[in-house]
Amino acid sequence: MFGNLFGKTTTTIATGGSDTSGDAASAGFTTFIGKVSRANSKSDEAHVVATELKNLAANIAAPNQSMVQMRDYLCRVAYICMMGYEVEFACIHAVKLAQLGTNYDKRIGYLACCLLLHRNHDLILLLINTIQKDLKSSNILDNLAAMTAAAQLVPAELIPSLLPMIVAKLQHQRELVRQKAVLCLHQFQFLAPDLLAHCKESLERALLDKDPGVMAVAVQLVAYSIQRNAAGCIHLGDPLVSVLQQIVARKLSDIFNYQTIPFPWLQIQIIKCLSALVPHSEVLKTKVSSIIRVILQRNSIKEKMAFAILYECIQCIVKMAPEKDLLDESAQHVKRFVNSSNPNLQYIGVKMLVSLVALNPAYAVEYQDMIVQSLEHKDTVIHKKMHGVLYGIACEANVKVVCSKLLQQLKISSDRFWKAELATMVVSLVSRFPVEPQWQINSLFNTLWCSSGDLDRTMLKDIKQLIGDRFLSKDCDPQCQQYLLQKCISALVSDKTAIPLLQIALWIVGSLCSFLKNMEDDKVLMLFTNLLLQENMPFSIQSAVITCIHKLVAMGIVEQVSMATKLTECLSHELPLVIKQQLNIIIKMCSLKLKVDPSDTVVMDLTLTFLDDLVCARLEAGAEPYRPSHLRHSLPGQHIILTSQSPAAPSSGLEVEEVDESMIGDRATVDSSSSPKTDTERDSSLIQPDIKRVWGKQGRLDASKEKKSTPKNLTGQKRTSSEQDNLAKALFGGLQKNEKASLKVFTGFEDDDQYDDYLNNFKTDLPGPWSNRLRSSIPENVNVETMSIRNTGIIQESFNVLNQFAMSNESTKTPKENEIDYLQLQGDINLKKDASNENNGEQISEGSLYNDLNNKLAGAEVDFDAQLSQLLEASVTSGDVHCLHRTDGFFKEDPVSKTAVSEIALENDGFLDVESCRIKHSIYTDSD
Amino acid sequence: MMQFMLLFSRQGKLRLQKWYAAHQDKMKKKITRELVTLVLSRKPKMCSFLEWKDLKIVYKRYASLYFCCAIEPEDNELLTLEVIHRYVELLDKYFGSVCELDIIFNFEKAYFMLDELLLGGEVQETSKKNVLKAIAAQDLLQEEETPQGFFEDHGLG
Repeated sequence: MFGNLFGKTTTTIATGGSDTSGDAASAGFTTFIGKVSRANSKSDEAHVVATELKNLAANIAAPNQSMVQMRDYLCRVAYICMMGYEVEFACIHAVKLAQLGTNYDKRIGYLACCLLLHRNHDLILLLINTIQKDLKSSNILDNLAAMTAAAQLVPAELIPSLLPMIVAKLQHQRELVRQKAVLCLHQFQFLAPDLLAHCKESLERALLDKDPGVMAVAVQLVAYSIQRNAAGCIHLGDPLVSVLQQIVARKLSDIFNYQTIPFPWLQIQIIKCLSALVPHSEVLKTKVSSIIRVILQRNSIKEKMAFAILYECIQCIVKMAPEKDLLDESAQHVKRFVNSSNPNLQYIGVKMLVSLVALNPAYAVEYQDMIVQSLEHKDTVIHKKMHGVLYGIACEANVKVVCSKLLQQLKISSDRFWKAELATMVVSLVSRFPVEPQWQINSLFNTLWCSSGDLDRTMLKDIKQLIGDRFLSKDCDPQCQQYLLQKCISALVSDKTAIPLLQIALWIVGSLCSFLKNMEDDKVLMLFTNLLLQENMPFSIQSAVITCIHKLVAMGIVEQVSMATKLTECLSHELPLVIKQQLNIIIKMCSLKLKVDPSDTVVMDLTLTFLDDLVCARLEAGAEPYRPSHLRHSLPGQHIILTSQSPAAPSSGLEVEEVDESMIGDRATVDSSSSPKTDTERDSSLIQPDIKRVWGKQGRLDASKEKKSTPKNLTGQKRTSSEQDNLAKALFGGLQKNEKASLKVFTGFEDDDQYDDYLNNFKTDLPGPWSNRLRSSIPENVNVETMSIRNTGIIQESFNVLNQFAMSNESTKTPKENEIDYLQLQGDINLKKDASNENNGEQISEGSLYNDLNNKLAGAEVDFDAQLSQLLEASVTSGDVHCLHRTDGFFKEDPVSKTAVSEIALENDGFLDVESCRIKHSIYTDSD
Repeated sequence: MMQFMLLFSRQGKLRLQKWYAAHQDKMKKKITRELVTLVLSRKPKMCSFLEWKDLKIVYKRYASLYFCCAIEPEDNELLTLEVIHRYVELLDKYFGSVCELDIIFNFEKAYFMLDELLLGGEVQETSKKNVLKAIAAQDLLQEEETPQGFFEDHGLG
């Protein structure tokens, strides 16, 4: 039959091609095709097409064109469209032809619409009318044409306008119409599954149609529901099995036979449906496995189609996880495929082998030779699949060999998707078989080396996690760590390393930097500065380098003077401002000779126990306890800040300080005032009569008043209502621990006495406002204490945490934008410098600036809870001012709260407890 | 579900395209270009299946024409080969020993035939007889008026 297929030569085209069977195309079309095929170059062709389009555009728009002409024009347009040229002008005419034409003209009109338009085209709206009309027509060919077009073109939002008419067609007396209707609904189901929920019954009734053709398409419809919700379609299992039995028993009309096989398409479709249903019903499983046995027996394997059915059966068997004998039988059939000389069957065979081996690696044993051969197969498609088999048979004994084969592929392949797949396999092998650590490190590194540019983020994260779990924890073998470090350093030195690998390597070096002690200082420094100064380095890498340098300095691995000189050199190069500022900080740190003992671990006090006493003291003094936002509205009579404009005095709880009405201005006013201003000046410049002052020097004003009065009130009246007690319990129950204990964690003092001495010294030594505050109230020294800790160097750890945080979220902003952010923040910092005259204070403000900035770089919108935990971390390690500034960063979506928070920061020198930050956040989110 | 079907010549000229999944025009051109080069570079003894991005490509060459379909990972490749074969059978039967030129000059017929075989990427009618019957009914309409008793004659009555 195909002996002479396409035998006619292309020369006929060149001569104008009159030899066409069927209905001869129009002369115009023939000439056009001739011209196009004679065109020698792309530009020639474009020229021919342009002229043709010009003529067509003129002709098609001319009035009184006959339908036959119109048909011809549109055919030409559709052809030109297929060649890849713009034919937008003809779309409206296609719609018109579908509308005005009759019979064949209409059909061509619809065809042109299908070829020229798409679902979201504006003209579909015009076509809907025509489709509706044709669905109503008594001519079934019109019905069919309309439904064909509807299935292809109607967008989800227009489905309701056609749905009733098409559902009605399910009852049509002609099977052809019913068939189209079912398929049309099938398409609608894809677009808008919920719209068809009400006609589910009539759809399932189509499954019982007396015409096998309709029934067959109805199975497709059902298959979609099964795919979406297999458990809910169990009742369809039995009818499907009985249909399959009928087919296998050859009870259906033989016009549906294909190569002597009865209804193969339907068989395969049903087997597919059943394999999805089987996991949900044991009863069905026995039925299905028996019928599959029958199919396997009857299949003659003379026809190609028989292999298709066999393939589907085996896929079903593998999914069922059946008895051993059925699996063995399918293994026999798979053998037939794998050993076939037909490459297609071979491919399918290998594919099935992959899934069989996943169930039981023993099935691969007899193909040993073949697997080894196939790895060199010249058809890449087959040898790719063979690597899947290799992956399946991996065990502790052979994992090294398997991995090396996979890595070999990874090295030579250039296909992104294939590389990603290989990398997944290698990583999973390494995590499944933790044999020699050195091998693990090598495998992971080679994977990253070859493919890190092609891996997606989750994959990279998995690899990072794997390395972290296996090699970076404390009890790991130092030799492995040393080896890992060597690998990383060689990656850092090479200039061919891809960015993701660099990032991971830097992360590892940062975690293992204590080993760098053995290296010469110069070399270590060169390693990092070279990276930093390399051209076109992305910001993420530069900041990772900075993190590493921070660690080096903090842990005293590199001699600090040489570090400082080296870094000062770097400053003269072109670097993002943020990085330069970081360098400045490090240099300052170097000059201060700060150092952290690596054995001294920082334990995070995430529950903020050191604040407990403070909070309790305030509560006892009658302060309003923190209430979650959902409770806040339900308490009548409570004054809700920012939600009501009336300055009504609160009816219960605490006294709100009535201050002169002033600012909750916008952020710009704060930023722009970089010149020193006194508080009063600032207040008076921003008088807004209707807004009550909420934020003052000491945080939220009501709270701040309590704060001041705390020492006096400690022994005084106790205004504890039971309600407040309960709330306090709910909030802090179980968290109340010794404040000192938690503080010791950061200061590293061995016993209480030493700590107390330290505290006393601190109080007396501190000059200016710090000591004043300290003397005035004991709880507040918590803040000061944590601030002072930066002098011991622990603060570095917080920088690192923050840096990591910023990097892990990978900035979406360009360095340029970051710089702009930075400049804005400069405004803040200047203010702060004015506010605090001491060196100490200045450093703090710089440090906190960094936290803020890092958050901005992170640019991540994370939910408040996640942020809060970060925030707490920061507050514990570095003092509340950090926490405050981070809050500032997080709230940047919300200008009002931002203003408030930053204002507080300015006026407070950073004296602000975490609790009030939290409260503030709640207030502002509430008022939205 | 089939995502799209492309027919192209050995020279890489597109002869027919049918898209069942929505793509931008630009994307369509890019996909076509990519696949045409990929398929044309395959040697005759290689298997007809390719894994391409997240899809599977099934192609088959008949004389000077390549038939190339993209299907989803869970679809049956061998069955898709048979769909292509059925389509060729239909074209062959209809045109009487079909050639590339038939498809160029009567591409609308080739589309009609495809629409009867596949709708929205799903196989609609697997019986050769039924498809040809439906096409014949349309063709008669082309001869102006439908004669009385036409539907009865063609088994549609």
